[in-house]
This record gives sequence, C-alpha cells and structure tokens, in this order.
Amino acid sequence: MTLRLVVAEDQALVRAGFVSMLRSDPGLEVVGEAGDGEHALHLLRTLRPDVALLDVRMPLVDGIALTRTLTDELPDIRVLVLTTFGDDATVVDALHAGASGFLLKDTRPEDLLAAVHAVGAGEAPARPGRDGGRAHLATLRRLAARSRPAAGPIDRARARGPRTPCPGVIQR
Amino acid sequence: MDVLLRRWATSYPDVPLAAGMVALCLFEVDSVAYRSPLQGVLLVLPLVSLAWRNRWPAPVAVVVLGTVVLGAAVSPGQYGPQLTLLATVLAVYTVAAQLSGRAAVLIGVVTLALVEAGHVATRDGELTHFLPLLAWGAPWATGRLVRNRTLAAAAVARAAAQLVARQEQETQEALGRERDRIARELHDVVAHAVSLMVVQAGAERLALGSTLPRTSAALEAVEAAGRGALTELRVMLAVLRAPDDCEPRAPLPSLADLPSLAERVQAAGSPVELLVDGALTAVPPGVGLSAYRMVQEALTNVVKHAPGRPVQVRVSAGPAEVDIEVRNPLPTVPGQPGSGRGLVGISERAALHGGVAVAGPREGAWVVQARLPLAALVPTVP
Repeated sequence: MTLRLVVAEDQALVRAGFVSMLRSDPGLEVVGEAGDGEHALHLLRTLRPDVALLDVRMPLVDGIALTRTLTDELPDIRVLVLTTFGDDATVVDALHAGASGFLLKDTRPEDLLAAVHAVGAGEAPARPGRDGGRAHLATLRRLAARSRPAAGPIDRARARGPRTPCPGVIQR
Repeated sequence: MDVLLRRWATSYPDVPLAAGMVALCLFEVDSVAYRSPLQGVLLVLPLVSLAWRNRWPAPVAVVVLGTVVLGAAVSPGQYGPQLTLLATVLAVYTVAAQLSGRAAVLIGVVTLALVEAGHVATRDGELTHFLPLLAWGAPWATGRLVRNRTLAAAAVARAAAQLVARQEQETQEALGRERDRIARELHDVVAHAVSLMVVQAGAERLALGSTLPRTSAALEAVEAAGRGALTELRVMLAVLRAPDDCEPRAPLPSLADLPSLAERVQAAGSPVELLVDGALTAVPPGVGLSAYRMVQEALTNVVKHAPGRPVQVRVSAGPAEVDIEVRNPLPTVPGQPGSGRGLVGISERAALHGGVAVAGPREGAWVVQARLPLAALVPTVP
C-alpha cells in the first residue's frame, strides 16, 4: 500500500527537489504541496495523508507550530520535520511538539526515502545520514541524561513543552 | 599616583631659578657686609642647590637650611639677605609638595628644627619665635595644599579616562554583537543556497537511476561537496550564535516583505509611505536581506525618536545597485540626537556590501540614505 504524503517547504526549488525524490519511489505518493504553513494546514485537513514532511522555517505558520496543531487535531498523520540546521533547541522543540522524526535537508535522498517509510510504518525515529544522524542521536542522549521520557522510540506523547521558547514566525 | 607628580616635577632641573637667584645675589652682595669667603660660599651654595630642588627635595632642603644655620652661627646677629629667606621658603615648599607619608613627616620635622636652630643661632632678640614658624609654616602649608590639589585633579582625570575607556569598550562590544548578527544572517543565506544545490543534485541523481553513470557520479560529487560546506556553515553559525539564540523559525526577510513591515510600523502609530520600484526579484538574497534590515533599523529609529511622525520609505532596485532612503520631518522642538548606536547595523551592512550609508538632517527632515551595489566587491561563497 502506498503511503500518501504532503510536502510543505517554502523554497520552491527545494520543494520540487523533494517531490521529485519522493515520486521516484513507487511506494510513495505525493498528494499535496504547500509553500507556507497555512496552506499546508489546509491541505492536511482536507487530504489526510499518512505522512507530512514539514520544513521548520515557513511563512505564516512555522513547521513546529504546525506539528503541535497536528498532534492535537490530526494525530494519525505522522510528521517528519525538515531543516537546514540541526541545532538542539529546534530538534527538542520538534520532538516535544510531536514529530516522529527530524531530518536535515541535505540528507541523502536514499536516507530520506527510508525515513519516510519508517515513519509511515510507525517505527523508531528516522535515522538521518551522517552529521544529521549524529546530531540527532547526540540530542537524544542529552535528553535521556536529563531523565526525560525520550530515551526510547519517540512517539507523539504530549510533552511539557519546549525547553526554551524560540521566537515564532510573528516576531522577526 | 606620585608618579604623575614626580614625572612632571623632575623633568627639568630648576636651573633658571637657581641661576636667577645667584645673579640677584651678585647684585645684592654690596648691601650686606661680608667678613669672609666662607660667608660668600654659605650664601651662594643654597642658591645653587635649588637647581635640584625638584629632583632631590629633601637633600636640597637640608643643604639650604643647613647653610642658613651655619651662616647664622658664623655671623650671629644677622639674618641673611632676603634671598636666603626666599631659598628657605622654596626649599620647604618643595619638600611639602613632593614628599608623602613618613618621608614628609621626617623631613618636615628636620626642616622645622633647622629653621628653629637658625633662628636661635641668629640670637636676634627683637623678633619672636613667630618668624621662624611662619617662615617654615607658610611654605609647608602651601606645599601640602598644592600637593593635595594636584593629586585630586590627577584622580579625577584618571576616573574620567576610565569612564571613556569603558564607554569605548561598550561601544565596541555592541558593534561586535551587531556584526555577529549580520554574519549569522548572511551565513544563513548561504546555507540555504547550498541546501538547495544539494537537494537538486540528489533529486536528479535519483531520477537518473543507473543511466548515465558519469553524470550520476558528478552529481554525487556535487552533493558531497555541498554537505561538507553545510557542515562547515553549521559550525560557523554555532560560533556566531549568541548563547540564548536559536534558529529562527521564520524565513529570512527580503525586499518582498517590505509592505508587511510598513504595515506593522503603521500599526505602531507612525504613518508610512512606501515607494518601491525596480526588479526586486533580481536582487540577490543577501543584498535583499541587508536592504530590508536597513529599512527596518531606520524605521525603528524613527518610531523611537519621533513617534507618530510620518515616514517616507523609498527603495529602488536598479541594474547595478539598490538605493534606500528613509525620510521623516524633524520635530519642531529638536530632540536628543540619540546614542548613534541605533544606526550601527546600517553602516555595518553598507560597508559589508561595499556600499555607502549616510544619515543626517537635510531640509528640515532626518534622512537615512544607503546604496548597496549588486556586483559584490568581495566574492561570496558560491
């Protein structure tokens, strides 16, 4: 059974690149694309895909705020968060918001596809390649060291909220 | 603390003073009856020693006062000529002005004793003890007074210098923080461009599959280089980030976001007239970001220093440069010009892009103008 996907990414060429990668996999079907958070939310509500690939940085509503909304409203949609950087605060916030996985945008295409499949099957968090993977694991270890309930597979448990609130889209 | 005093005082021997007094002495010599060459020496020696009164105040004082005592002992009943009194006064004054602490107390006592001894040796019954005390006391008091005043002035000067240094340091730190922020944003722009390249290359390589293996290999190389560059950029950004900073959640602004900026400023109470023309989309993201930030900084300044006054913003994107002008009429009552730190970002970004920025009053309005060339003078990371 093919996994239905929605891709939200504000840079048009990057979005086109992801969509192209995803379409090369017969087990995946991209049912919608969005260039900002509001449009993405609309598509997610209407299309109810299996997996949502959300860029952190988007106009109107950012990817992490969107993830929180989805965790509340549409918990069956699994979220894979994409970013250019992988700083701790962003990773922690994404996981707290309920994301199933976190990937760097420069992940190898093969790893991206594997991650989408893994997340779609409800498996353990995606393992982004190379530095992204190390950063991801390191963050998880740090979280575990602080005795937070995040040492094992990340599921969309509602957490206490982000450690340090990061400025959202409205405040520039 | 004494160093300041000492250095100033000991820079020159007081030769003119000593020479002048010796010359005067030669004129006066007839008016006093001298019985022997010894008296002549006792007269001239203290005057000559005054040349070193600043360098060795205590020995000179002892020499001067010692010769006064000897002179009185040699020819009792006579106070020496007025020059000797003057020499005494100067020697005691110099000691009081130069010395401090225990040395001052010791030499003070010694000089007082010598003055007293000189008076006693003269055995001039008419004058009371008041004279020697005055001869010692007046210059001593004056010397101490001058000393205290000089030290106090030096302390004030030092405090002022420290304040200036601290302010300078604070300005430098603020400048450093602003530069870091600018650097962060520009690295961010580059990182997004490189990400785009890696994604496009990867997507194409996946689409090719096993066809065209050489092209695939080339694309793989592009991806690998891009990933390497991104790793380096992430390190740079971690270095440049302030401790409480995290990755911003909003996309970096560009010239296309100027209308919404104008709206926000308008909502804050200052009417904004925005005039934009030219090919905005042709402006590279780094320049567009800087131009936006400059307008933002200028508007923030207007809202802060002239709230409620209308502002006119003109941005024009030409083929070779982007011109920015932010203008607002000056208030009728001239207000405080402000710290000047508010426009740091504008001048820094202008300099960074090899452009210019000026800010100042013109024709009754405060005008901030900047020009950012589009052809980079410094090659940017591809």
